[in-house]
Formats: sequence, structure tokens, C-alpha cells
Amino acid sequence: MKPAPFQYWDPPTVEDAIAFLAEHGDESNVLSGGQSLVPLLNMRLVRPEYVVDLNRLSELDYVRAEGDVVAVGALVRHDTLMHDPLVAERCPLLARAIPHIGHSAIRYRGTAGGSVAHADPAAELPAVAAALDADVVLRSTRGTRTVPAREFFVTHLTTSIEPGELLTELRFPARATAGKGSAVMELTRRHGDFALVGLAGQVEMNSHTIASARLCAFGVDEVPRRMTEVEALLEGQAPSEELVADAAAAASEAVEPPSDMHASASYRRDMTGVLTRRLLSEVLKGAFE
Amino acid sequence: MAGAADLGERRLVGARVRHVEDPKFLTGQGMYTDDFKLPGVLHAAFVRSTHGHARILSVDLSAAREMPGVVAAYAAADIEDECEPIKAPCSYDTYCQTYQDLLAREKVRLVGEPIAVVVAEDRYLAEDAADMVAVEYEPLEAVTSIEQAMADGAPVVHEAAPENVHVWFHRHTGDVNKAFEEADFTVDIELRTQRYAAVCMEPRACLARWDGAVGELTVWMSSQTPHLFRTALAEILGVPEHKVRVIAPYLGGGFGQKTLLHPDEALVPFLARKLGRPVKWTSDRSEDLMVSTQAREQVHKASAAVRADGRVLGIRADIYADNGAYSCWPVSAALDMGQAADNVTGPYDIPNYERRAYAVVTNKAPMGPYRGVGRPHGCLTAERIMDEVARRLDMDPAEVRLKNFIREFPYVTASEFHLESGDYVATLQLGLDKFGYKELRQEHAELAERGIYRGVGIAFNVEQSAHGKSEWERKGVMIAAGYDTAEMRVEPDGKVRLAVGLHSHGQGQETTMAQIAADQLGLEVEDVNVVFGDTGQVPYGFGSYSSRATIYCGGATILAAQDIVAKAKTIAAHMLEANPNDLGSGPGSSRCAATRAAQCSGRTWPSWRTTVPPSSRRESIPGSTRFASTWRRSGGRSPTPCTSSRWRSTSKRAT
Amino acid sequence: MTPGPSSRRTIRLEVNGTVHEREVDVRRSLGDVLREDLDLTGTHFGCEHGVCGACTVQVDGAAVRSCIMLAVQADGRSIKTIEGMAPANGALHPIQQAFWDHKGQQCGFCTPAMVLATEDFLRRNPTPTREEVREGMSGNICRCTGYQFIVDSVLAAAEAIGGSNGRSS
Repeated sequence: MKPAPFQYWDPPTVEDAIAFLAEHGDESNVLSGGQSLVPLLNMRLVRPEYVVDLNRLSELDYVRAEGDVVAVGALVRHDTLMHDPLVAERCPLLARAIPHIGHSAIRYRGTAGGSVAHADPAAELPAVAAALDADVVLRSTRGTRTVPAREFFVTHLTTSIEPGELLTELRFPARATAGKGSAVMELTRRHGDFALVGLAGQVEMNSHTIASARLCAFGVDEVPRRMTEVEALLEGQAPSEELVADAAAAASEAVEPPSDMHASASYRRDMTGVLTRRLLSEVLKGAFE
Repeated sequence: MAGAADLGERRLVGARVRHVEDPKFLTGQGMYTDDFKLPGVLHAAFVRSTHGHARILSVDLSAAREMPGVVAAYAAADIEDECEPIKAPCSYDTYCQTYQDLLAREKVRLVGEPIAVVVAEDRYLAEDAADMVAVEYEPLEAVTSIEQAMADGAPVVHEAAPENVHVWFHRHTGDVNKAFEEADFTVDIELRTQRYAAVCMEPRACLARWDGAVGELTVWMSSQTPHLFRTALAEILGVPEHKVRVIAPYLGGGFGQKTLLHPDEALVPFLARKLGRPVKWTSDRSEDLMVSTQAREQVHKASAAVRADGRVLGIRADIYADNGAYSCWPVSAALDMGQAADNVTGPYDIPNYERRAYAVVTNKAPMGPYRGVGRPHGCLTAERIMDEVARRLDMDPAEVRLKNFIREFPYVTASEFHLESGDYVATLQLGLDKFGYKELRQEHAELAERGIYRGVGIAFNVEQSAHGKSEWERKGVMIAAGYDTAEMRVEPDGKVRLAVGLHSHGQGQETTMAQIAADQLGLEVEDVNVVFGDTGQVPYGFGSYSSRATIYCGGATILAAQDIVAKAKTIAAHMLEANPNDLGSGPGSSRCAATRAAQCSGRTWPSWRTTVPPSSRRESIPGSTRFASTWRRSGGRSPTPCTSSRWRSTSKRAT
Repeated sequence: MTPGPSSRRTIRLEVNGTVHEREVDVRRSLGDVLREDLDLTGTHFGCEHGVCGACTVQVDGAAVRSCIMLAVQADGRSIKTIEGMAPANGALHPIQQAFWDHKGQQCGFCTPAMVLATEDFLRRNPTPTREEVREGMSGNICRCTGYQFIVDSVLAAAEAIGGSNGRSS
């Protein structure tokens, strides 16, 4: 299981990278953490002419607040995000997702940009991006454009990144508000496996009712599945066990998950409801009347 | 009193001893097959079938042969006169003899079956070239289930097995028909067990070197049974067995899978001979999951004839093993189904047992023994029958078992297992007590009323292990024996070299065998060097599997040690001018004189209790073994000044 | 200055305190270069796609799967393999000693990785509970032991290294 031959380059700047991709993007794979790409290379499932390694692009390794947004450079390692105080404070859903990603060795290398660009339907960061309506920043020699998460994920392992474009930044809306509860839950056979079903959820309360709810399921569709039906049911309501039960039922109803060798559609459907109930019970803890 | 009372006493066996081999693993110094390097080694990569069942129309190696670093590329046509296929023998007359070519000829029968091999300067280049091999297939309908395989008009996987059955048997013990007539009701069950893969952490690997000058083959390979693999390779390659040396170093797991010879690893020594350079191949995980033997896929359909009081009077069982495309070498397709069928009556007194067992041919990886082989299935069927009886009669499942246990020993089961002794009733009752079974059942009943359903299961098994020759013969296995070997040698420094026919790959046998030997000889574990795995250093043995090694090689070790002690006594008696029968080791001295024979200094010399008068003196023995001994009078008399000084002078001389 | 894409690259790796310079094919994994070029065969391949953890080494102090890191990506880095674990005087590292004392290995194939992963884990969490050990070490697969003794070994190692404050799961 050795990769097919390729040529390798680690450009020193983003300018260099996008200039190269402008010319050779079609025949290139971009390498950051490598935790997804190198297995594909080893198994010869991808055979690029060029592997463009971004790991020298320290200019893409940052986490900073920009007004209401937490901007995360594409090269930020999962482990860094997990411990970053700004993320913990302003974007706790993101922080909560990271421990579910694989194992520590994977988190030391894997990157935020890489995970989102790879767009595995069972991955956590794409779901968090969708849940929070994050923006994805893409750069090329043609300029910079920003794509909202809901348009970014096209189908499994496929995004709207165009040839020559490089994902350089993720922008997470992060209004610091009190009364915000968030959680990420997954159903896996073993810790660190890809989720059979996963759910990222964040709820903001005003004094007695749910001001906003954001729920995104993963592993149930080809792209992160924003659960707008369930969100609509929750918003403006006072939390109660009954509400949570209704939301769970609605979640099961709403998804049309695939059957595969890991789990059947009906099992995934059931588990979507179970995770919804558990997640909402968790984030609404103490808020029930 | 005289006698080797201390030798053989349990001192290390039963004690908590750290494994002497572990530091090697902990420091990364344990060597596994892929770790070995030879100058000039080439690397092989296989071209494997992408179809489960297909005719091979053509194999085009021309592009591969032009690739950088490629030394050779072969398909079946290039090698067919130069090596034999793998042929798994079986003594049953229902057995359809089939063959497994090292490279598939004409037909492929499983996804991943090797069709061609490329040999290059490194594995990367070999895989690049393997990508360039073009295979033209005519796909055939693949057989993927037992039902499909055995249906009329099913695609035939092997011409030699036109009904897609490698082997089968029908046996009837007692009178099952009468049992069913007398029964008050019957219980019918159908059980399916899925396919397992062994997934050793270390995939299979092989490194081979051919010494053309003397016609000798040396092969490092990931094998639990190096001597058996030597026999197989000698036959496949047409090399006399004494000119083949197989070295099985440490293995990263075996679990039974590495007792079976696979065509890819068998091809490697052939390549080394053909190319005149060492060749290495290590399976990657993809290959391993595709083609290394898999296990346990069986269907059992059983009926039990049951009396109203819960007593099972007889069982009929149809046992189907989805054996995959090939009969594995050496134990053949008869083993898994046979072990399953033989264990269906379990620990129960059921003398009436009729069974049909089939090893079915499908287009899957070959089935091979793995951790329990077919025995877990037999146990599952037996236990499920008991549970069904319990359910039908609203009896406690434990009670049903107690009612049906064998109680009188010795007992010969319907499958001809001779159970010499046992107390299953007491065993189960002890288990139930310790587990708190009664309390659990009570708790479960209460929970059930609240809609919470919990359960507790019982599985009672009498395990067969360390099979003897008659058991292998009953399973149709023609390459097995009911013995193993230990060769023990005392080195000049008094340490022991113990060569055993087992293989140790996690079982800790380097320590266990040393404990056994050390107890026998009055030594420490560190004094015994256990050698295994190398057919050039160990007499013919049968390796490690089915829990045989400690029993066989431990037993052989004890026998060898007893021989050593007898020899040592003879030598000591000669030196002390005593009668060997008067020699023993005294209390507080646990050193065997024989093992202290050495020219060395600074040692504590053994003490011997003898009735020899003090005029005896130390003597030199040809061959550079020297004894120093101290002796006392027996019968409680204190040492004479004469002997004490003798001892002192002896020890002075020794230092 | 990198001139652009190439199929070969000269890299410098500091491995267990020694710097090695090698010219390598850019597609070779770090694990392969360690095993083949530097004869450090204590690092093992169990899957070559980042699942089993048997290839774990440490790069700049962090546990890394050497099968899915290209050797060229380790250029200029400091790498520790199992061969660099024990102190120079021939004794065992406390983690190795703990595994020995608590029988945390059988066939030994996953063991070097377990030891390196343990060191990384205990650096992050010096006083783990049993549950935290199970989760924190879950990236390393073992097919022999059933894991209980590995957990015992890691807890014993934690205590030996001096982190334990008596927490239990």
C-alpha cells in the first residue's frame, strides 16, 4: 500500500500556492494534515500528479476575533482549536466538536481547513460549520470569495471549491451571549470512529424561551444535515420534556439516512431521534420548568 | 534421604514471573519477518483478482516488465512447470481434492486471488508495475452464500467439486429416530454466525533466500508452524526437506491464521530461487483483509427431541460451513465443520445424535481455523437448545442444564470424546453462586414488570485442546501428530539451551518453558534459553495452536530434564565414586550438580547428600566438566572436619 | 529555497538525538524511511492508513502516525522512536517498566506504539482515571491482550512518573 508516484512541493507562501494551483490545480491534491489524504494516497484511491503541501504556510495558522466572527486559518490543527481560549469562549460548539475527531495523533496533525475541504459526510467540523452558518473563504489567482456553509457542501467528499482555489479561512459567527448551551454527540462503535450518526447543537435562551436553536446532523446524508424543521419547532418555545420528545420525533421524521454496511437507514433514523433527545436534554439542563 | 526431592518441585511454575521476552518487545528489538534485511533483496507485489469468480482470458505483463526497477513479472503460465500448487489433503472419502495454484490459472475464485507477481527493487516500484499489468476477465456468476452454492444449477467453483461441497459427512450415533418418537416435543433452531477475519496486527510476510551453490533455501516467514511450512515448501518447490530452513521469528499475532499456508507467501521462495536474489513480500492490510483465511461463517439447523421434564433425548443437526474458495492447508475444509459438529452435544448426556456436516464452496476467502475454530458454534447450538427448552417449559435455563449434564464418568460422547472425569453439576452451581445468578434473575423479573428487559446467559463448554493424533485423524487431517519435541542441552557454563517445537508469539513460552525446565533442574528462569521457530535449530515440531504448546512441549521438557538429571547423576556418581541412587540434592540446595559442571569461579557449589565416606575427592572428568561438591553424612551426623576442609579447599580451588 | 515540485528531496531528520540526512522519494512515508533507511524497525506497520496506531512515533514531542506522514513532511523535525525511549544506561523507561510489570504486551507488535502513545497521553493527562486511559489510548489497537493489562500498565506508569494523586475511575 504505497502511493503512486507524484511530485511534491511545499510552497512558502499562499501566493505561491495559488499560483501553482492556477496552473496545475486539476492534477493536484492539497495536503495539510494528511490524515485523510495520505491514506487515500497509500491506497492509490487518488493519484495526483502533484501534492501541494501547505504546511509551510504559517500565515494560515491563526485564530482571531474579528468583531462578531471567530476567524480560523485553514492550517490550524484540531488540537490547537481544542485548547484555544478564544474558541472556548466565543465558539464553544466548535471546541466541543474537536474531541470527537479521531484520536489525539490525528488531532495533532489534522487541520480545520483540511477537514472542511475533505467534506466527509460523517465528519464533525463540516457539521459545526453548517450549524453555525459559517463562511468558507477561498482564494485563487482570480481573487477571494466567500461561500456560506450551506452552499459549500455539494455531496459527499465534494465541495464547491473550484480548480485553482485554496480554502484559506473559516469564519464562525460567534456572538458572545449568555445563556448559550452547546453540545456535540455521536454514535460510534468505538471512540474515534466516524460517526454512524452525529449531532451538533447549540441553543440560546432568553429568559424563558428558546431564542434560537441550531442543529446539524452528520452521517445521515451526503452533506451536513441542518435540521431546520426541528429548529423551527423549538424556537420561541419554553423548554419541557414534551418539547424535547416532539423535537426528537421530528428529527427522526426529517432525515432520510443511507443504509450501508455500518448501519441501516432505520437504525440511523432512530438514532437521530435518540441523539436529538439527549442533546437537547443536555443543553437545556436546568432550563426545564 | 537420598532422592532428587528438590528437583522437579514446583517453585517457578505457579509463581508470578515476569516474562523474560517482554523487554525485547518494549524496546523495539523484537524482530518480525518484515524487519529482517538481506543485501540485494527484491520486493514483490501481487496483481490480484478484482472479481469473485471469473475466467482469466489474458494477462499482459509487457508494460509492467518495462517499468523502472522491475526485475521480473510472472503469471501462472510462466511458472507452472516449476512449482506445485498447494494441495490440502483430507482422508474423508467424500472429500473433493482441489488445488490452489500459487498464481491463478484459467480461473479466479475469490476477490484478491493472486494472478501475477511483479518483483522490483522496492515495494513502491513493484506496486507501480503491478498497476500496469492488464488482466482480461470473463466474469462468471459468483457464489456468495451456502444456499446459493447448494442450489440446483449453481455456478460450479471447482470442477473437482461439482456440487460446491469440499467435503461432508453424515454420522448417526445411538437411535435418534427413537428419541424423536419418544419425545414430548421438539425444539428447532437455526443459527447463523458471520464471517470473521483474524486481523493479526502483523500481516503475513515472507523473506526468502536461495543459496544456489548448495541448493539450500532459507525462508523467514510469519508462521506458527515453521516445520510444517518447511514440509510444504519442500514439496511445492521440489527441494529436499533437509535443504529447506524456515525461520519463524516473532509474529505479530497468529490466532490460527498463520498455521495455514497461503499461495502468495509460498510463491516468495520460488521467486528467490528463480531470480537468484533474496525476495521479500509483506502483505498490506488490504490484501490481508481480502485473502488471508477467514473464519466461522456457519449455519446450524438443529432439532432437539425433548421430554416433558426438560431432558433432551436426541439431536439432529445440519451443519454448514461457508468454506470459501479453497480448502486450507494443512487441516483442510473438514476441520471447522467437524469441530462444530462434534461439539453440538456439549457437556450434556445426549447419546442419540445425528448430524450432517458440509464444508461448502463459495467465492470467498478460504475458511481456516481461528481462535476456537468450529467449537464456539457447537457450543452456541448446544446452549441455545437448552435455552429454548427452558423457554418452552418455563424452566430456569440453569435447571435445564443441570438436568441434562453428564454425571457419570468416564463418559464417551456421541462424537467419541472420551471424558475421563468432571463434575459439571458442581461447576455450574459454583459459577451460578459466584455470579449471583439467583439474585440477578429475581432482579430481572422485577425490572421486566417495569418494562425494562435484562437478561443473563449461560454458556457451558468442555473445551477440547492440545488434540492428539486420533482426534486429528477423526477430523480427516493427514498432516498432524500427537507429539512435540524438546531438546535440552546443558552448556559448559551450566546454563541450559532448550529447543522446543512450539512457537511463541505472545503466549510467553520463552518464560513458561524456562519455568518448567528451571524447576526440573534447580535453576532460575534466566538460566534457561528457550529456542524456537527455526527449523535449523529445533527438531521437528508442530508449532503452537489449539492450546497445545504447554502441554506437549512442557511435557517434553520435563521428560528431557529427567533424562538430563539421570545423566548428571551418572556423571556425579562416577566423580564421587558413589552409587547414582544414593545421590540427591539436600534441603536448601536446589542446584543440580550436572548443571554446575563448569570451569568457572566465584560460584556457589551444590551440596549433595550422600552416604559416601569422607575419603572421596573431587575428580576431573574429561570434556572439561568439573564438579565441586560438598557432602555430608546422612542420618543427621555432623560433617567431619575432614569433609569441611575438603569443601573449603574445593571451593578455594574453584575460585 | 524550494525550486518547485520534485519527485525526490533531501531531508534532514533528527531521530532519537542523531541527525540523519537522506535523499528520499517524496512519496515515502516517515515510517518507511525510519524502518528501511535508518534500520529502526521497532516502529511497525499494521495498516498503512492511519487506523491502527502501530506505527506511532513522536514528532516534536507529539504522537504521530508515521504511516500517514510523508517523510518529507518531517524534514527538520525532531523524531523519537521506540529505540529512543529507554535511557542510555540500558535501564527501562518507567513506562516500559510498568508495561513489563503489568503484562501490557503479548506478541509485542503494537507495543512500541503503545509505549510512545502512553508517554504522549500522560504528558497531556498525568493523573488519568481508568476511563480516561481507555479513551485516551483508544487510537492504538491491540489484538492480543484485551486491553485491561494495557490500562493497568498506563495507570502504573502514571504513578511511577509521579503524577498519581489517588484518583480512580
